[in-house]
Amino acid sequence: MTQYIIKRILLFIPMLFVISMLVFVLIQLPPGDYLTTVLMRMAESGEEVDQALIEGLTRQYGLDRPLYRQYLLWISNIVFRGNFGRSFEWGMPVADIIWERLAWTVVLSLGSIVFIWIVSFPIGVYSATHQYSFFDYLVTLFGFLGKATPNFLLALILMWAGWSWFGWTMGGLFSPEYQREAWSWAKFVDLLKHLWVPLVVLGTAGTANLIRILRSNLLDELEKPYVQAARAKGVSEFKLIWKYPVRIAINPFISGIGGVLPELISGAAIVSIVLSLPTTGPVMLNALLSQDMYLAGSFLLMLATLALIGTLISDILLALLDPRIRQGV
Amino acid sequence: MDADQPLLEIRDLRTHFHIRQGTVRAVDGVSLSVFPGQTLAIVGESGCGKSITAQSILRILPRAGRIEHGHIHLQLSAGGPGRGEIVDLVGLNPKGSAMREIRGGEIGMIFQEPMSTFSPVYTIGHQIAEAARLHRTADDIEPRELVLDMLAHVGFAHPDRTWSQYPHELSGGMRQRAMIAMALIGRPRILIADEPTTALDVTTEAQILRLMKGLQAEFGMAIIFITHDLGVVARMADQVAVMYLGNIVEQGDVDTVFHAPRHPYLKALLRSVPRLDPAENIGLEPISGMVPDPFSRPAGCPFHPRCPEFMPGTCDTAVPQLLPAVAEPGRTRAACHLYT
Ligand SMILES: Nc1ncnc2c1ncn2[C@@H]1O[C@H](COP(=O)(O)OP(=O)(O)OP(=O)(O)O)[C@@H](O)[C@H]1O
Ligand code: SF4
Ligand SMILES: [Mg+2]
Repeated sequence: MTQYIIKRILLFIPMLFVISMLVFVLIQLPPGDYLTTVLMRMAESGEEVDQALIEGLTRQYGLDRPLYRQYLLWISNIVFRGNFGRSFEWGMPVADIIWERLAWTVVLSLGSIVFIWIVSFPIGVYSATHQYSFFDYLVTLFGFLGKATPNFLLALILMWAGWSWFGWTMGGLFSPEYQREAWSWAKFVDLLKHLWVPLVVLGTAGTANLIRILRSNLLDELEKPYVQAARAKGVSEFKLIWKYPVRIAINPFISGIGGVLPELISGAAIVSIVLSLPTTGPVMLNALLSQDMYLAGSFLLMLATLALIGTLISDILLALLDPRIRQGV
Repeated sequence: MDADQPLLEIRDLRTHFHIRQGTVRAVDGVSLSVFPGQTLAIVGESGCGKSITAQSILRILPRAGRIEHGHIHLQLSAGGPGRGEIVDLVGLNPKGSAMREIRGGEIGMIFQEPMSTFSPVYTIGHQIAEAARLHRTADDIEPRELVLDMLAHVGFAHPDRTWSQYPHELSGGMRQRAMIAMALIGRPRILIADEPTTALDVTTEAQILRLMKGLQAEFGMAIIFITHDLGVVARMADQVAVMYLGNIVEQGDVDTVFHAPRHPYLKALLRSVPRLDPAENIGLEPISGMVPDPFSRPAGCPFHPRCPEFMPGTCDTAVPQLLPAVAEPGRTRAACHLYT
């Protein structure tokens, strides 16, 4: 087992490098760069172009050098100095912008995983063990609705309902009066009051999906000979279900950990804008649009790293759960 | 315990499946008796209802299956909580504790697929010990000791190593031995073996059959041996019941069944088995026709569309009964109008 984990971690490092290169190429891919965008904008508004500033930036980031030199400069700054470069658009170091937003993204991701698990696990198991019951049909209906409703629409509906029925404003993560406060118990409670909306919005599609997968996996497993054999030795039905087929059908829950982060990043940007959440989504979208390359690149790199860590964690958990993976069969 | 008194007596068992396409009468009027220490073989083609009969006894039918009719009388062991009483398993709640005591405690079961009858994620030792904890509560011995002892009995040279192995680390034959250990750890008086050697090669099959006979001599349990292999029947059985389309069509002791078969289906079945002696293979012929699909059972005798001795007007109208009603030595009981 230790060997397996070490192997996976060793594999992790070259993968990170490959990803960092891909990210760098990706953000260079659109024609032009931030400087040309700025120059164009200045020219349009008839402003005097500050030649000294342009030259300074060009030199600092090696923008006149070949691509691989730029990449080496960028990555070595990150690895050796923790310097992610400057955001052109915001006019401040990238590091100052991303950390808090990344932290919130991780909080929301973990929160929605937990939400998805808590809701879908018992429902999926119940629905499989009571196939074709009224509740099972209800769950299936909910599953279709949950999958078919776009997240941002769900967010809008919730916000509208909260406002028109209870007079709640549900955007953001804090009420205005706590926004700039230091952390306190009251602030935490206020956070929880706001947090459930994004969790429900972000978690609904995932919940519907996971219920569907768990239900069909479990239905398959319930018919397997090992379940019958366990029943034939006199194990009680409740214990049997949780110990034998569920233990196998649970795999998508674990492998889902790796997938949740990327999904949140790609799918949640619009939700974050609608709900004005301080996550990476909206800022990253902007950075990509305005070719603020160091900001966009850093976001992509950090998120890819998180996704890789997620996959690593889920692989290790899967190996812990299944001796066949552990022993490399 | 009276050796003439059946341990298990099935009367007119009917188990049906209600599915969207209609009703499958998988078992349709089976009567059987199992006597202490004896082996009853149930033979028949694929789909004739052998496994469903076994699953009806243990009440572990698939969800769509229901026992519609009949009794399954089991004499509980005198030393157990049932104190030698006779219970009707059909009347028990399949999820209730009385039925769970019987599963593994009074009746053990082994299955066809040694590859998939153990959960891949728990060790062999853990899975067998679970049965020991359920049924050997009166013993002072640690479950682990009981399991190691049983593993040695079924032929593992290093039980303590096997204890911590996972199913995928054992070969098919070894896994079937472990399955037998799991079925016998609760000291059942009846062992149901549903095609336990079908998935194994002939050498391994011979070893497993020998092991089962040895364990039967040692523990004295009765065996219900389900198979479609007449060679295995000849080797293992005391009594034989031949099934066709959910019915028992012929029943008798093993010698009589092989030497004086009466039902046309059994005769055809015996003719279709290859022999070692080529001279005897001249008459080798498969049974004509096909097994009818489960939704359209023939009226009257279920075998009549394929029967070479079909009597129009009789065989396709009236269902033949298993006769004579009481078994006579030297004669099988057959369900066929030729003998009524
Ligand atoms: N879950 C189920 N739903 C519907 N019909 C079923 C189900 N299980 C079994 N049957 C039907 O019951 C009949 C008897 O099946 P059974 O498994 O007892 O056959 P078998 O004699 O054990 O055959 P085999 O030698 O292939 O194991 C078959 O015709 C089958 O179609
Ligand atoms: S009852 Fe008729 S059809 Fe059926 S086996 Fe006997 S002779 Fe054949
Ligand atoms: Mg079968």
